[in-house]
Amino acid sequence: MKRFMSHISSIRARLILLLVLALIFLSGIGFGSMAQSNALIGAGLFLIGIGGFAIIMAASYLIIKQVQSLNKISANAHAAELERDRLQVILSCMGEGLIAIDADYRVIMCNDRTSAFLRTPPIETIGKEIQEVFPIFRAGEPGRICTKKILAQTIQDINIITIKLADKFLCKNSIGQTFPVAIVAETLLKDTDIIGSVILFRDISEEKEVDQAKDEFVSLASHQLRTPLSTINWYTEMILEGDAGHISKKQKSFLHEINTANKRMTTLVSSLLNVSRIELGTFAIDPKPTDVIVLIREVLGMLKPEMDKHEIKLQEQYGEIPIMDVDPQLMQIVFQNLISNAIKYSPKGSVVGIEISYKKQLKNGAKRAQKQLVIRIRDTGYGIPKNQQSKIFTKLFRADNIKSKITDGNGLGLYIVKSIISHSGGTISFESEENKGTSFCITLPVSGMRQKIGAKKLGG
Amino acid sequence: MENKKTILIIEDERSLREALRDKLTREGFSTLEAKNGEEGLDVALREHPELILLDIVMPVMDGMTMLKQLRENAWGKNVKIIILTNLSDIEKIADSVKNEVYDYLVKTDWKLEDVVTKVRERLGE
Repeated sequence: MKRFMSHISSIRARLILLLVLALIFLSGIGFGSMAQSNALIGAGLFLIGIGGFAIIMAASYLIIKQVQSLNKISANAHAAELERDRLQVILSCMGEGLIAIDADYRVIMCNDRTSAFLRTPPIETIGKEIQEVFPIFRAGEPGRICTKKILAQTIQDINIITIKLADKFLCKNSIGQTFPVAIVAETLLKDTDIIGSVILFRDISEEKEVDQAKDEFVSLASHQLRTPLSTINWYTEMILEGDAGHISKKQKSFLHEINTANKRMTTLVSSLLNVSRIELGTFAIDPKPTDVIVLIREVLGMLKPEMDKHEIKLQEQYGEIPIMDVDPQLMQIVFQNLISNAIKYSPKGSVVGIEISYKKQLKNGAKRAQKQLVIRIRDTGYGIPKNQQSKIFTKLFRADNIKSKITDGNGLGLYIVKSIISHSGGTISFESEENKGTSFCITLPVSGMRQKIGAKKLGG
Repeated sequence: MENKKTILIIEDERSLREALRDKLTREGFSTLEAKNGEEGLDVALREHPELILLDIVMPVMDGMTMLKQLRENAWGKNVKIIILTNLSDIEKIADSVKNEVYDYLVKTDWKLEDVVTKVRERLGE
């Protein structure tokens, strides 16, 4: 632009020059004709000659210059056009749809892929409200178009929004078809001013299919693997009990091996499925009003056979707990793991204590104490050696002191527990002394577990 | 002759159903069987058993649907029920039965002996 301005001013300078020369020329003619003398006419004609020559020179100089500069402009314009075309080609080759909107949520630009996804020609898209051309909504809530609400986060503030497969968003195109959509939207800045937002999106139907196939596999595995395990469990027991006739001592010991291996497989199946979901980051936290005490009693009921076997003395202490928003299934996994650990890693006749209270606790950094749900699960068992306490939440880790005593642990339980609690906004800590016991403490904020949208449920 | 208590076993998996039947018969109970919720509801309303062992995930009609329908019946409202679960069913149970406390029995973790104990407990024996 600057170059173009300087160019104009040079043209102006040349025009002035031309005017001056023309004046000399005219004054030459005038002067010659007024004097009416040969000598003067000669001089006048001479001047005319010089003037004419100068004019022709100047004009041709100007014309050449002009043509040159015009060529330059068109070369510049051409380059810009090429650049724009190239950009356009890149944009239209992109697998993603790209839309730019202004701060009033109106479309200012979109690429070809956008038109293909949304089934609207670009001309009909530009200038329209984004919500109108790109309606997105959460799966199961088709009436609640939330494009604007989501993009507002990038327009009211500098921000990047990412919507993935697990967030379950759908987009409806102009002919009424819906497709699962993944989106990245980012604030569009000019210097430091927010002038709009850029949206990148794509159809993730294929990913969704793969994900569904995986999901079906996991659900099939979890149900179908467990059913035969139950069958093995019960029939081995019946033979062991002599329900099918007398068995020898040797047969009995073999059957005990089968039984133990089967139990191990059962736990492994649940743990592996849970871990695979944690690692994928796709597990959902779905808090609903829950009576935590009822929940823990259910778990205790399920673990009763184990407790009886280990002759565990159970001490329960429950404060007055309001109904809280927690994910019952996840909390169940947490309780199940911690309590069964307490049972498993304690000698016969140990005490397992469960305390649930609701109290004010000063959190680190917080000015005022906030009410929290505090769950303590303690045992008088083998404990965790001091030098290994930092590792106990690590996947597949098993402490040295219990590795030889209890061989059927898989090192996944506490890893799962820790993942669930930290993903839901709570804390978990413990104190332990070897051969004296371990005490785990979980806290959850009064607001309950933090919701996490995800495709999967743990434990399923 | 001693009056045997009747237990209805609703379970789609043949091997598990038969294991329960054999054990309970051996322990002196009289048993009825059903392969799914629909069949179970039918047998329950006709035979009025003292207790029902109810699986959750079943074809045709699942356990929770059956339970809801059973609770609408005057007799079925109060019949004793023990729910058989895989750990994965807990969510479904929590969703369906709000204010009732049930006994759950995790098939992979529980011994048949424990099932019998639980059944006796519920029957108040």
